[in-house]
Amino acid sequence: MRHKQFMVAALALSCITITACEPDEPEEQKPTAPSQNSLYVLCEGNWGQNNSAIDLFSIDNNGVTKDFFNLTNGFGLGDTGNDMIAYGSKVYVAVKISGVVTVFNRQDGKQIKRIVMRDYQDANKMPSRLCSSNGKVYVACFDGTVVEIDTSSLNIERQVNVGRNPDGITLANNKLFVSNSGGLDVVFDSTISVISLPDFAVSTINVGLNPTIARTLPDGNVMVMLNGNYYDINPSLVTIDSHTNDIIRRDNVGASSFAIFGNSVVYLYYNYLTSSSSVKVAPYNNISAGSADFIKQSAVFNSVTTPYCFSVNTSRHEIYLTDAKDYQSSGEVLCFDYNGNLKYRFQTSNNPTIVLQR
Amino acid sequence: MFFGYLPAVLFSQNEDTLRHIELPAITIVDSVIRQRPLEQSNTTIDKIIIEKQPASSVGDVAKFIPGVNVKDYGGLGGLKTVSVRGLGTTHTAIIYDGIAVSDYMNGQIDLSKYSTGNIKEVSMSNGQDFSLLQPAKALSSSNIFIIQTNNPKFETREKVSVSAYCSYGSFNYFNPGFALAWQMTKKLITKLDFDLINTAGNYPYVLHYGNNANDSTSKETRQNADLFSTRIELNNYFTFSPKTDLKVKMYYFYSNRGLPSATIYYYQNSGQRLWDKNAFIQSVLTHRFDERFTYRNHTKISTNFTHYLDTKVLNANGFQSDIYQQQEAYINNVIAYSGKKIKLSLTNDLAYNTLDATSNISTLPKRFSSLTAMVVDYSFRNLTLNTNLLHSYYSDNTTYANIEKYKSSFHPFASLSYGVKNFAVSVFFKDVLRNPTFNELYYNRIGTPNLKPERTRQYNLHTAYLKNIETRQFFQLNASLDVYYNQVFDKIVAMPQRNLFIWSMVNYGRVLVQGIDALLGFRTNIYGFDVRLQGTYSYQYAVDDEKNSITYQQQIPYTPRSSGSLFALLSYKSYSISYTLSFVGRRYVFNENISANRLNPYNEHSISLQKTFKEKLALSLSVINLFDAQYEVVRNYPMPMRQFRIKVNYNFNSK
Repeated sequence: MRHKQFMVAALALSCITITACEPDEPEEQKPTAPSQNSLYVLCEGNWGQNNSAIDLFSIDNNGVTKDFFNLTNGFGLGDTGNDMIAYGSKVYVAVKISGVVTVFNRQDGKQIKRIVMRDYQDANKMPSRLCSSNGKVYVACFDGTVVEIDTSSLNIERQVNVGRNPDGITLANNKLFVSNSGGLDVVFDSTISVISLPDFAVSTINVGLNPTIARTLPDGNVMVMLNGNYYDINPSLVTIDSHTNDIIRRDNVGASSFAIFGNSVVYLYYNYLTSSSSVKVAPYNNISAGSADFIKQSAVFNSVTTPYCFSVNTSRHEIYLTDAKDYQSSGEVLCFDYNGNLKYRFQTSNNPTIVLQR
Repeated sequence: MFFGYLPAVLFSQNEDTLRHIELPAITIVDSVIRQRPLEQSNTTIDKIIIEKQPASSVGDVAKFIPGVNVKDYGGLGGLKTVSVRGLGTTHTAIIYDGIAVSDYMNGQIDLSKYSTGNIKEVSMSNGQDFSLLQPAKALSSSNIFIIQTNNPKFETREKVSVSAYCSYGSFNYFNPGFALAWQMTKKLITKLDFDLINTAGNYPYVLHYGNNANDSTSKETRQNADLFSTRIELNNYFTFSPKTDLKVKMYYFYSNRGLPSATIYYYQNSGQRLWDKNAFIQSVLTHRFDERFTYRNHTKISTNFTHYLDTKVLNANGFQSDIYQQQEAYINNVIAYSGKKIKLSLTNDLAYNTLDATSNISTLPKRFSSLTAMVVDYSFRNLTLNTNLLHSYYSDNTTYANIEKYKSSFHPFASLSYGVKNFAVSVFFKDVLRNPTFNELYYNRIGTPNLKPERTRQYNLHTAYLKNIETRQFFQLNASLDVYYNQVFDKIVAMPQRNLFIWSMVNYGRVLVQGIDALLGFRTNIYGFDVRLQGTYSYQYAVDDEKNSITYQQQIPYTPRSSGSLFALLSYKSYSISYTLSFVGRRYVFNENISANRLNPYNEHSISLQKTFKEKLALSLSVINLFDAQYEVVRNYPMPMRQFRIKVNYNFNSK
């Protein structure tokens, strides 16, 4: 009899280990086609996690569909979506670690083509920043090249060499201004490559250590953010004359992200002395003269953990500030009008960056 | 060599002296039938399980220990580390034949480097071990994980012992090895151990392009996961007199492996390789003055070379090449007094560690550390109080000017246990620190030189039951149940500081772990059949306990709520069949417990058939991951699916 009890105990043991399963969370439903009043939000995700996402926010019913791109297409965007632009009826996403430029239909989010960005050794070119001009999309790649993609055939056409690890590209005066960050080296790059579009001829200008985001100003000039060396050289903004390629202004404002709307620049300001950040707005051509807090309600500003990126929506007159939180959790997008009043806010996937109206 | 904890599992008729019998290393037998339940929270995986289960590294064997999470990057060359009861990897000391394996650079000890070929026993003690003759290092961690290698065994007049094996399996897995022991004189036995592993590692897996059930998939082959590794050990066992013995180990390990990247969608082309060279000499000297006083010395010098190369970096050079060189000099002295009721020991470790990693750590850190513990063990009837006070001191010598020169602190441990014939119960409390690693302190741009140590506090209730029935047949039932409460303070984590681009190490946050570990084992020998069953189950409620955190009270990453294992063995005459199951519940890759961060539960079943011929030759056939489960322990690092192995083992003793 005693032996029997042992057997029962042993059997009970094996049951414990096998039945300890947990129920699955419900699967997401396939989303319906988005309305015009929707926003696409590119979320970088986290390196090596394949969790870059495009979320969809419906302004009308205030609802977020996280990872809308995956739900629509049945596959994920990939690893580290770095930039997103719209051109015509298509949206282009540079997915850096996955080494692709994903093109999808702006209306319904369905993928049209995944353009593979590889070098001649089949290594990832790391597409990082995008801009468009005259039927072409230009991709600044971290391998030190700019690639031209035709927007109707979606084929790669020309390619040109620039500096190390370009991390910003903008079009001004029929020229591409490409920031060479050199971010993968101990000593950063400090140049801008200027590509004249008709002939793809490149000239180089020196701007200062670690140039990244580049944006075209309403007056046709180019503003570039310099990240410095994250140590003893502070970040700053430089303005380049797009005709002469000369530097016309330097603003030592410690910016870590910026955007242009109307005649203003909105930027993240970091104060090294107090270790505090703020969101400032100023006339883009006279930053030091008229800097003011962009967010009107201080409670709103205080609710932002990690201000991350700006996007501007000129048709709705909205500015989107993304909050990266702890970089490993769901992010947030805050929408402001041009006067810095909060209109609405919503949660997103990890590390939201760019907001684009459908 | 590490016999400190062995007496607890040894069977002795004299119950009062059961717990602290010291035996010379050579005479320890491999398999013993335990007669009383363990009073301390310890799980031992013995040689039978190690030999009969089909996996090949200590990291795989650790899955049979309740409370242990094995983090595994997949394949044979993938890093395998253990974390115990929701505490990080660095809180578990890994002891190899009596002396800690150290890594002051990042604190991660890769258990895939320890193949099971020469392993006799693997055990894990929560809190610490109760034995007297231990290095202080073994008392200074939250948990200790002990790896013990085979001791040579000689029957009368035998002089030479040979044990050789060779394994071959899927993905060009090839693992030959041998142990050659020679009794040179009555006072000296020498043993040479050799083990080699080579695999292409190109296993198939299915890549899922999303977390949803209907997302597209593709069939892929793991790239750049090849491994070549070899280990050579020369062990010398000196028995100068019945009172004095010495064991000296010379160890060399070399590996050259590809580091497969995460399975990035649409692009997988890792150019990363890693070379490891590790050499050390360690010795354990024991001298028994009389029945009461014993002295032991542990000494080790070690050098560790790591070369990391990435040929696909888009920097100016087009590659990244980092070299890390660590050196260690270590000495421990321990003296123990073993009275009838009271036992005392005083143990001190002195260590000097350096790191040369000029490409990433410009400051060339050097650390001098000292650990001292006074252990008091008092037995009264069935009660035993085991307690110690540990003093920890370290000072770093770097080029930094404005950092604290040294850190000194005291840490208590106390345990009270009660044991009768079939039943034991004990409680312990422990409060210790985990010193920051060189990477955490000094890594260029990221390291923070003024970090505080991470602190853990453990409370544990252990109960155990053991019953043997030895009539014409033999039956054994053993069960243990632990309930624990752990806290981690001043966790060392990487957080963005100053601005978005600078991440640095900070002391932030707390973790709370409440859990249960259960083990149930059953053995019988009936009508010629030998049956053995061992099952474990662990429940870990391990959550972010920082009230200001946005993930307060959510389960910490890579820690399943439920996990378990099962080992079953049936032997009849020269045949045996074994079955193993490892079960791991749902995990999350980040602190936020949402479906986007979810890793699915998995079961891995394996089976192994063995046949021995004339007790010398053994042949085994194994299927690992029998049901072809596709799973990940670390997200985007898929584990191999079904694998086949064939192994031949040959043992031979002669005059």
